[in-house]
Amino acid sequence: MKKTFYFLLLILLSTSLTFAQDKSVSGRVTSSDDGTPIPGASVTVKGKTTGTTTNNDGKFQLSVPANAVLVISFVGMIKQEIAVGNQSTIDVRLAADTKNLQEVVVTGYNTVNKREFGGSASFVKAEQIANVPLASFDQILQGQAAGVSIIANSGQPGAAATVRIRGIGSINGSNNPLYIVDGIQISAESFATINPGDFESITILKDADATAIYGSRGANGVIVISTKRGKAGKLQINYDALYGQSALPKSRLELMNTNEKIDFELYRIDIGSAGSALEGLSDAEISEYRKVNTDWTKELFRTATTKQHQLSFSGGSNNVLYYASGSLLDQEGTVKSTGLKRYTGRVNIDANNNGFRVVAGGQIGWSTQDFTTEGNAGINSPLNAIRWGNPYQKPYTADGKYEEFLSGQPNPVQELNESIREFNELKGIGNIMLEYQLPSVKGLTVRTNWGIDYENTEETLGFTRFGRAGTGSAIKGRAGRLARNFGRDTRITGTTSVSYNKLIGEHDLTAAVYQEVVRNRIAGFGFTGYGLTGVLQNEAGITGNSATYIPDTRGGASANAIISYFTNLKYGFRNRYYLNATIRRDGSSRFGSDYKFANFGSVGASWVVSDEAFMQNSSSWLSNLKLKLSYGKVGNQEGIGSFASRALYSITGRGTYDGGQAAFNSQLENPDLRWEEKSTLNFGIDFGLLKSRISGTVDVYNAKTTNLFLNDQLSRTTGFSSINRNLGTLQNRGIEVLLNTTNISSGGFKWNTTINYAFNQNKITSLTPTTPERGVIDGILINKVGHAVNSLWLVEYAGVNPQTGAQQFRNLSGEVTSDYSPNDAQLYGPTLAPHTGGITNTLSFKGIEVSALFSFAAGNFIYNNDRTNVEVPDYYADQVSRALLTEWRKPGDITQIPNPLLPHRTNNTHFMEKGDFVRLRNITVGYNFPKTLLQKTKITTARIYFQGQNLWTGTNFQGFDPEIAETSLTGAQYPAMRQATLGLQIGF
Amino acid sequence: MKKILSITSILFVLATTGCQDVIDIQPTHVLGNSNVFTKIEDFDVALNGAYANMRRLHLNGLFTGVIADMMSDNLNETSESLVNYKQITEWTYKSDQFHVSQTWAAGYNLIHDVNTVLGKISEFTNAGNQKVSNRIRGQALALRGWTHFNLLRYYANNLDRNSGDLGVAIRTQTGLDVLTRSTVKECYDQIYKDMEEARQALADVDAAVNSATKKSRIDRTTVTGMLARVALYAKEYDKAVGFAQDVIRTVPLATRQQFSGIWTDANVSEVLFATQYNSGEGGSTLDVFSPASNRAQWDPSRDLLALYNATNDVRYTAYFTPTTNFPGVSRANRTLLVGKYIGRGTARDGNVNFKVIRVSEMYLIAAEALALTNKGADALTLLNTLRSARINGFVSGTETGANLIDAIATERRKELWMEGHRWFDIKRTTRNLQRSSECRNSCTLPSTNVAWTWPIPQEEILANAKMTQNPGY
Repeated sequence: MKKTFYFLLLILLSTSLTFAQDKSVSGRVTSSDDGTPIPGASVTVKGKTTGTTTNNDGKFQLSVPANAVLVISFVGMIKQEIAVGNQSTIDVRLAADTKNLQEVVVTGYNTVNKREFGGSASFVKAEQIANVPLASFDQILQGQAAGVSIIANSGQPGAAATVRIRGIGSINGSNNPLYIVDGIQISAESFATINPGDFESITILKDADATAIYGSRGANGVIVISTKRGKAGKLQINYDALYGQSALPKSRLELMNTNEKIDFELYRIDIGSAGSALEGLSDAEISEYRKVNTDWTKELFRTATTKQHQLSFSGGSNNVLYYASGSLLDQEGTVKSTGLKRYTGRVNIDANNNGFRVVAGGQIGWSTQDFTTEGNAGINSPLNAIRWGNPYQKPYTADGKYEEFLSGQPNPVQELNESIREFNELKGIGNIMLEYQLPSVKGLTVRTNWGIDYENTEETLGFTRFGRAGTGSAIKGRAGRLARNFGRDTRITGTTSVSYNKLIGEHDLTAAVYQEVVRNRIAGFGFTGYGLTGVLQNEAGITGNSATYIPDTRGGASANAIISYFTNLKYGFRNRYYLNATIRRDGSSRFGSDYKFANFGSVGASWVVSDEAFMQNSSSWLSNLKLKLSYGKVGNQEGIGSFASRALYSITGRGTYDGGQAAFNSQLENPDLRWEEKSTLNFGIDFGLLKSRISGTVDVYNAKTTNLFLNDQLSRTTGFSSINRNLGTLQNRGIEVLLNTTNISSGGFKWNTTINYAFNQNKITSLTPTTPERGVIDGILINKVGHAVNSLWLVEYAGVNPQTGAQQFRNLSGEVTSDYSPNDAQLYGPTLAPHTGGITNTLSFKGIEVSALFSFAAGNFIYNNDRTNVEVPDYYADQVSRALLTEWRKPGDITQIPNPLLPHRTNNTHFMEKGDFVRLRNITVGYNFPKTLLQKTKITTARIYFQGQNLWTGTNFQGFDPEIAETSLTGAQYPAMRQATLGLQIGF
Repeated sequence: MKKILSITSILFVLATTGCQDVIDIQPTHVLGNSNVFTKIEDFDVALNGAYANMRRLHLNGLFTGVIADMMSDNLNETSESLVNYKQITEWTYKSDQFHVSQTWAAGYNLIHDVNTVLGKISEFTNAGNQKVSNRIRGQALALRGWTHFNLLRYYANNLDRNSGDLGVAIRTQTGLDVLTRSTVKECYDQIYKDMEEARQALADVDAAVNSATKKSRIDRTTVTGMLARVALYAKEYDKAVGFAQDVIRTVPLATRQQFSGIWTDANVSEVLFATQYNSGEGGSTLDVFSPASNRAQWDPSRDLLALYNATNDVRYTAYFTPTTNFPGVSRANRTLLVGKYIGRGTARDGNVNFKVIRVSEMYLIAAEALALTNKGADALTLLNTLRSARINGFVSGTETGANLIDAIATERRKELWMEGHRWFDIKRTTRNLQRSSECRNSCTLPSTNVAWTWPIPQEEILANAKMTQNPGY
């Protein structure tokens, strides 16, 4: 090591040595973009070691020999060579190397020139995601990339979307893509504490060639995020701020008003339908109720505000670059008392010296979320009350107390006010990469990159003694409870590689070997204290040392890890023919000893046709044509339990019995469980027409998952309902189109359109021979050969019998019958939209820019359980749908709503709806202040903008929001917000 | 330079080889095959797991408990009901009914729990711990027999001892093999075998299973009582009398003073076995009446109330509570709520033990069996003993013949109300079910209706080609 140190010292010294020269030149290096000086730019004499760097004002002075040629270079800028000649002052304006920036593919391990890239990927640039007022960055990707389905699911601030790349490739395993930030894996669906404002670019790797390098982790695609790095030059300061308001979208599920509801209940009481709380009330009491008409959405929702501030610094010299940022987001939820506050900071440093490169980056974030429960059908969820709360009830009585509902349902305002649901998260993501390019062997690079994704979470669930949830029968002492759950999730990723690059004539060869470890450990503990009898609703408010209020404690931990060895070979010939191959071996802790390791690999080829000599005649109209073909196999082991192959006995799952610990067999032994494997064949064309006024990409793929994880149904007499086995195969076939067009570009007016569209067909191609021919049925879901996964399994509804009012169904022989049989169920699907996409139109004129993004999804079915909750005739003690006004009352009535006195079935197509929607996901109107106006100030750039989110949605789905990742809308939906935002961006 | 190269390559080799054991991860917060059973005492913990399982909704938490009262004429559904069990309580279930599936699955899950114990305990049994083993094994065997019997009550049509009709699948070992349905006779053979063996094992144990103040486990007397119930359903009347009398000789009836304390867990008089619900573990009848949330989804039916002597019968005050005790919500035209499971002591949270079997049932079993085998006088004596114990100033009845049999049935309904008997008592005596006078819909169920036998769950049929569906589904 000592020798290395001396060697380094020598190199450092040598660069500062100067020799006597003939002539002195001075000058200034500025940016051609805005004329600002570039400090730290390198100025050297071509062919010599002589050189200097510019000072803070971008100025330099250098002695040069006669006839010298100066080479002026700077990171991220196009290098210039200038013959000195007779000049003694040379001012240079360097242009940003945008071409170079746009044309690389960030794979997370390295960057590949887009030209050489044979895989399929989508790209989202910083400006597409910056300043969208959504706390979870995945939500922002909706409609931005072909083949990437983003389902918002929830409008709760900080809630993650469901992201599916090229459909569903696994049934029981995870379908979440892999998220990589600067080479480090981060948790999926946990982005509330990450600031998307720090992102420079997002690359979505989709096919086997692109993801092969991630092997076992890349089966569902990879989302590679690069954070902003420092830009050499003078210090740049940017300040962004936004303020917005958001509101609840319109619900297409109409409910009764007070008079309708009371009349309806009275009618039902009359015909002997049990269940109305109005039964037995006097006329006077009922007429009092008629005077009330509460809109429960108004009681629970509000117009919420969003505020965000972000300050970033960036700069550096040729050797050291830095980027630092701080941000603050304060977003209120549309449901009262919900919201997210987030504070983040990031520092990125890149240092280069003589072949040594150190890249270090880290973000630390803190968020605190006040949330409400969603996506369930529980009566204590306040969000269900906007459906179920009767309009004739009020939140408060005349004397200011919470009104107790006649139907016995909890008062949602009371439950919302008398509960605390808080989630705090401290998240740290950091990595350090060391790279050394060996000077002795040109082209040999050794690199190691280690990083951590660390989450420390604290969940608080508190229920006072004044609400229903705090006084339930499971609450010891029934005087409120306070639970806190602490969790720690640590994932360490370490990648070490050696790569070698050699250019021999027209042959460009790169070979690399890698070793990688990803280890994840989750641990947590918590307590529940009882007896919140004091003033304080925190730990100090718990009654301690009392037999009535014995607190509960709990804890748990689990861990998993994968280890991988892989090699990657790249070969380019004549800058037009490229070949890329990866071979890898992955081992996972989740499988039994016989099946821990598996081998995967891929091969991809691309050909830049437009650069061929025979194409030169057509270059006038065909500016770019590239063909890509790839095939590869990757594995999946995410989404199954950390100890999925073992028999497990829980000693916590059932509590205690009579004060003693209680163990039970919670998981069956599963020694044959092995890797799920996904092979993808991809063919793609990149093209540019008419000097790239029209450009785009078309990809066609066929992906096949084998050894599919599937819950093999067991005879219930085994004591278990199913076991996760590698059964069958699944196919995803599809086409993805990306089209960029410059429609008009003249006289400062520009109109661009970006269209992305994807079609994905999902089909189970085989299941195990032991599976019944009917498929694997689980409630209203079915997985059957020849059909999409998780299709609906429902009996066809055939309206109401006009004579009896009974529900009618179509049986398998096509006859209409009132005799319900689950054996008549049929398959309906798919439940994941096969058609997805987005269209962005951008108009700009003299600093004014207007852009609108429409996103859409079509072709899927949703089972609307939320609607059953207000349409099942028996549930009429609570609020019901207006559809029930057309309920069958007498023979001859033609209606869809049956006689309430007859048995009612819900597992039928009456509650199935199409999930198609078109949504104006984002509209932005921005104005860039002209430079001429800013010249007198210190401000270099300034922009103001207006932004609208989800301002319009076109759908027939009967609810707030058709964006549901599950096959069924259960209830308590927190709909996506409609937002309007004003923002300001200033650069110094 | 060479050194750097060699150092890096050494580092690289170290990194690649040294990490191999990174994927050897052992669970730390859950047990595995290697450490779940290491000594005989571990089986106590696993047995606790089975008992704890019984608290779940589809076992004693409702479905092998008070659902039998909800399905019959004992209760009346109120306007506060969330109607979550309507398809069950109005008998419109088909094979895809969720609770029909879950009751089946939960039963076999409990059987799996005890089979896990029974399959392994012999490996850890030796001369020194034989009595410990007997204590654990005996309880596990009793639970296996009892759970098969409970399943048989729902899913078999004919409950006679030697019926060749289809019963349920008999599972005596853990495993993933598929089973066919055995005949009802074969089921009884296995149930008797398990419970007789249990009785034998529990006769020679290291320590008493229950104590004078706690009856949270199945001891030898409990097994005898369970056998009495099994024999009554099987129409083996002599056997039933024998088992019942055995228990009656051992355990006295509660006094009138003690009686109300049974229901607040103040005492365990005449309780043979109760599923223990400790603080925070909920209760078995919360979907009927949840005192904590003041939601009374079901009320005692009017016709049932009329059967009691309101002033002199200790059961009247112990079983029913006036609506005025739970004010707040409009309960027009309702006077009494289900008051049998209000809470422990003075608590009002429904958090009390569920009494699975009591000695008073033994009087009724013996009386019924005697009456049906022409020993009316002996039957009447037992019936009068029970009635005198409950009703202050009771004048002994003199019923004979059919009147006596009816009187026993009525007393059974009154005594065992809300303990999970009524639906099965009507089923096994093949009578028509007629709900109380306030009932307005789904009020009658003729004895011939297919609903008396639950369908085999669709999920089971689909996963198990050897499974046969019941007629009518």
